[in-house]
Amino acid sequence: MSLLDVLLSNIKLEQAGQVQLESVTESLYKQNLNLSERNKTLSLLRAIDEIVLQVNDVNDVAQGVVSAISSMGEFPLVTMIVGRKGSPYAVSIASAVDSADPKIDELKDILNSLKVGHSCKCLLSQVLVNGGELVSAGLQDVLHDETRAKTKRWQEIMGLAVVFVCPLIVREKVIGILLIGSKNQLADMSEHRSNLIGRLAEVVGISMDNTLLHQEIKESEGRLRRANAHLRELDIAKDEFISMASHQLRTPLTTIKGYLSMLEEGDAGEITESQKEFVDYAFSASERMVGLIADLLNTSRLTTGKFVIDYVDCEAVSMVEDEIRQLKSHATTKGIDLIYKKPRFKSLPVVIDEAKTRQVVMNYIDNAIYYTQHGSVTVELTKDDHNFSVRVTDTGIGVPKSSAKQLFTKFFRADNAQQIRPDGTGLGLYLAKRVVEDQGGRVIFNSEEGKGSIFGFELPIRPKGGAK
Amino acid sequence: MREDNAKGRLILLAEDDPFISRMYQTKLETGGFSVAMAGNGREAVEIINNDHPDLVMLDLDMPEMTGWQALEKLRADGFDFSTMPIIILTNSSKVEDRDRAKEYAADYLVKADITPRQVLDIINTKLGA
Repeated sequence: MSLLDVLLSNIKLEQAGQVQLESVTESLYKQNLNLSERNKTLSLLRAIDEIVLQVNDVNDVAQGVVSAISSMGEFPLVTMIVGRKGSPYAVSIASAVDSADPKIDELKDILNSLKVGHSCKCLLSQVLVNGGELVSAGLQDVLHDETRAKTKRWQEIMGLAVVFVCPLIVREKVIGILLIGSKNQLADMSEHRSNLIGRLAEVVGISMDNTLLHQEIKESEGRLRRANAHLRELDIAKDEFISMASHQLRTPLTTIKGYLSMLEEGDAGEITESQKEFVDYAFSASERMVGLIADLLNTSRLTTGKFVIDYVDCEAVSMVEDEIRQLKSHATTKGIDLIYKKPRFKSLPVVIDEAKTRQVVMNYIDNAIYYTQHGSVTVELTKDDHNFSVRVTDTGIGVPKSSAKQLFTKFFRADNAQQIRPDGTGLGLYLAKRVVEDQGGRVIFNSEEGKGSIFGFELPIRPKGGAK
Repeated sequence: MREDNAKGRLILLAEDDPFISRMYQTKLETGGFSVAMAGNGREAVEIINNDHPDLVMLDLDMPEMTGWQALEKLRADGFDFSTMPIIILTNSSKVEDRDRAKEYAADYLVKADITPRQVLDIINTKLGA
């Protein structure tokens, strides 16, 4: 091989190497460009994520996202349109326009007040209804400017080639539209950049959906809280009303009951046996009414937390005997024997809420008489070192096994009781349980349907811990 | 026996409802007590200061001056409550009222719960009759 040959072949090799080098450089450059675009995209997506995490308000999130897309994604125009629950329109909630030119101000105003109805025939409405792929359009199509004069100038000022109309789709539902104005047509974009548009719509859709859900939850939480507060106010108002009504009812009742008792006691002169009998009935009825009012008051107070036990010194023997005396006529008219098993002790001083406990004793005896057709009602007062008990035993209809569990719950009435006395309130036993248990005692109950029942309670002679 | 012990004892009955007032008055007089009547708190304070009754039956809701206002007035004037038992007779059953009665060592009774006879019994016990 001549020297020339060697030289020539070297030059050829060098040339080939040069070409190779150039192609490597070019591919490296491309890769680099790709990488930098990829980085930009990643930063943009990360920025969107952070906005969604850190901001709560829907409008603030939208504005943050739109601004990030515009500045980091280098899109001169970005507008977000979102449909809200309960509204027939989707409206623009944020937009970013990268131009300080005052001629663009009108465009900014228009973009800020975009309103898309599902029934409109415009491009935006079609995308909103049909979803589908992203559409590229001129600004004039988006804003339906028929003369095109204004939109054309705006596009020129901002250097816009096209506006992409991207449906925001979440769980196969269009929740809004993202408008992205670009300086390049789709065809003139790198593959990566053209993919970015679709990817943005996806991410923004999910982000906005979450934000909207979050806001909705917060709003319904607020509504629930307000409704709750309102209910509490109503409860208090109801309690105040019942309190006031009770007061008003009790005043005439005091007069009725008081004068009846005085008639019976002969304060207006001697009365005949039958007059006495009638007066006695009327008196018993007034007593029952006093009891009903107390039940109403106490039930209302249980809901408002104003139900309190008021301990006083009380004589248990005379308390029980008083209640028996007052219900004697009720038993006599029904032909029931009201039997009092006198205790061996003459007196039993206790510390209890006398008014409420009396009411329990009265309810027990009154119920027993009501629900006994034949036979007797027996009242018994017993005590041991620490406790005393009142038991009312009847030979009445008894409580069905299936009703026993619910017997002491509010408004509950057993079927057989309902039949005999359709107008009962279902409050007596509910209150009895509360009154007894709130004083550290326990309810006594035993029954066999068709044979009879025992209702009673056991209470500490004085409250534990000496509460007074 | 009771009537003898009650004789000469003066009860102040402060109550604005004329029917309730007459009811208690009748029962108290049958029981041998003398009864002074007041239709509001102001009259009650006057009678307490002038006639020094042995016991006061005091309604709470009265016109012009309520039962509570009457008690506050007496306290402001330095009245010694230990010299005169007070029975508050009301038809309101506010928990706050019950607690407040304790400040004046007053008994607290709901009128609708008791009969005039029972009130008389309580007064007799209180006055050791």
